[in-house]
Amino acid sequence: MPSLKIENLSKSFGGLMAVNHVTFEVGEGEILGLIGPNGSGKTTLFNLISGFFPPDTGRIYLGEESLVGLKPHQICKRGIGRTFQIVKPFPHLSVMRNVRAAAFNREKETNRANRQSESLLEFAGLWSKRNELAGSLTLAERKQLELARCLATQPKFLLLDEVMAGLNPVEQKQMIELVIKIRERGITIIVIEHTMQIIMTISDRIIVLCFGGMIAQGVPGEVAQDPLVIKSYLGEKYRFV
Amino acid sequence: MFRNGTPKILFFWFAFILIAVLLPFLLPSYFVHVLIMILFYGFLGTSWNILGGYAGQFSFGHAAFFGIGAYTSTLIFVNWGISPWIGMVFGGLMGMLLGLLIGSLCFHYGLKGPYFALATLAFAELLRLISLNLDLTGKAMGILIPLKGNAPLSFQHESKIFYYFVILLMFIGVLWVARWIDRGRIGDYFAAIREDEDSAEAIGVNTFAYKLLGILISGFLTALGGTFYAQYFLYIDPEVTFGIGTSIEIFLRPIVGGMGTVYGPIIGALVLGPLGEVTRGILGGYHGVHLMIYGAILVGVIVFLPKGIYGWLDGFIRGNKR
Repeated sequence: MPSLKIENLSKSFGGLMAVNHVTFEVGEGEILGLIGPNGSGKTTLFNLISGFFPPDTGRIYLGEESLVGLKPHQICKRGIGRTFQIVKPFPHLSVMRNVRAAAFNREKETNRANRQSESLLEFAGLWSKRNELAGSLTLAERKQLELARCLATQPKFLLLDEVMAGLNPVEQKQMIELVIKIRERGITIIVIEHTMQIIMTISDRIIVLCFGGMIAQGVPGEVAQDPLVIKSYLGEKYRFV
Repeated sequence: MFRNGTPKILFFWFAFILIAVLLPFLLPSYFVHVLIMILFYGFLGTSWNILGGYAGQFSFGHAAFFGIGAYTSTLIFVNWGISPWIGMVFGGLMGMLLGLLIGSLCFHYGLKGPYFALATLAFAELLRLISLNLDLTGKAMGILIPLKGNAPLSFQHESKIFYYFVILLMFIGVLWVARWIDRGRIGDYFAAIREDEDSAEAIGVNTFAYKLLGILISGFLTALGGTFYAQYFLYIDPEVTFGIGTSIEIFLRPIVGGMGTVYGPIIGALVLGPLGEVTRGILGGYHGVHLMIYGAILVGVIVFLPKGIYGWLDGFIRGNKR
């Protein structure tokens, strides 16, 4: 499987460097955590990778192929799926149709798309809600739906933007299990999350962004001990156990 | 394909077709005309609905496609004597071409909602003014299509029953297209675009291409309706083809009946058609009053039934089942 390579990626909005010369690589089956204070450029980085914004400078490679300049739907076709921080289900469509629309990304035949969507709904724990309108779901269910819909496009890479934020501890636990099950399917995951306990537990490796720049990367234990990370994000009193 | 309800549905369709076939022979000519207009606006509404309802790109200028269809077949017939049946196909292709022009411009520059609506209106007005000033299109006088008597090959007949069956077949055809779109990938993609374009892109929908596809299909079908109109009334002028009134008539039925549903437009046509006839019959002496009633009903539907009559019925039935 090809790896996703980010080289020297930058993006500024007016005078603000939202992403500043970021370079990293993610390989097969990895869970990469992306942390940093609010406004540090995490979501912008996702928007650059998924083609919603063009980068000012830098390169993005999937294997040998450059992704810069491709439209979001083309990037989805190449196997990079994303969820949105503020979930965007199709509110007036049923849960089933939300997922089926995404399943058509790889499957042109309606009956097979139906079957795939059904099995994904079961996988994501939304089977009983399949005929409800997406707009009537709770936040936790909408986040599950967002994930199921993203999976339906059959990605090799998954960009998860705060899928646990706003969930209660029980829902968070279910979501973590879901993310780990997704990794077991061989999908590489880049995850943005604020809850340290979660990110430290599920990530194989962590990248810390601050004011658009990368200030640290490494395995969770290392990053938590890094003085710069403690100073700019975790806070002096933080102790990772 | 076969579900539990299939025999019931087959029976329903059989009964519907039987009634539809027998009806014009049993009714006086005036009622046949009313039926023709219901089917005609049902046809146009369904065509509009593909772009405006399913894909959520609200066109305020569908008269542009309608008029292009009417003028193309008519000009070909009047100048070169080519049958309007063939002209109809050319009209449809011209409608597609116009859709390609409008769509590639508007969607490339990301016009949405009211801006797209105004842009389509501008195109319709543009065409109205061109046809109003061009010798070729007979200026404000319009074009009178030469009478051929009972000439089905020239898309003309003295009996309304001929036109009834033509529009019935056209309507069934467009209904089939709408059902096909509604149930498959294109319908899902259109709905995704209507609901949230960013999300649609994120799940692999080429939003530009699918919006363009919507306007091409819709433009083609609407132009066919234009040819039917020209052959039924045997007279066209810039106002009735490209006018704002026509654009409004086209989208009124899907809005009243239910946007983005297969049966919404025909339900709207079934309600508004007879209603228009009755109010005109009763209040015909007071010029324009029937239009006021029309307007009041439209306001009422938008306020009280925002999902249209079909959406309301659907919710009502589902609500009862639960």
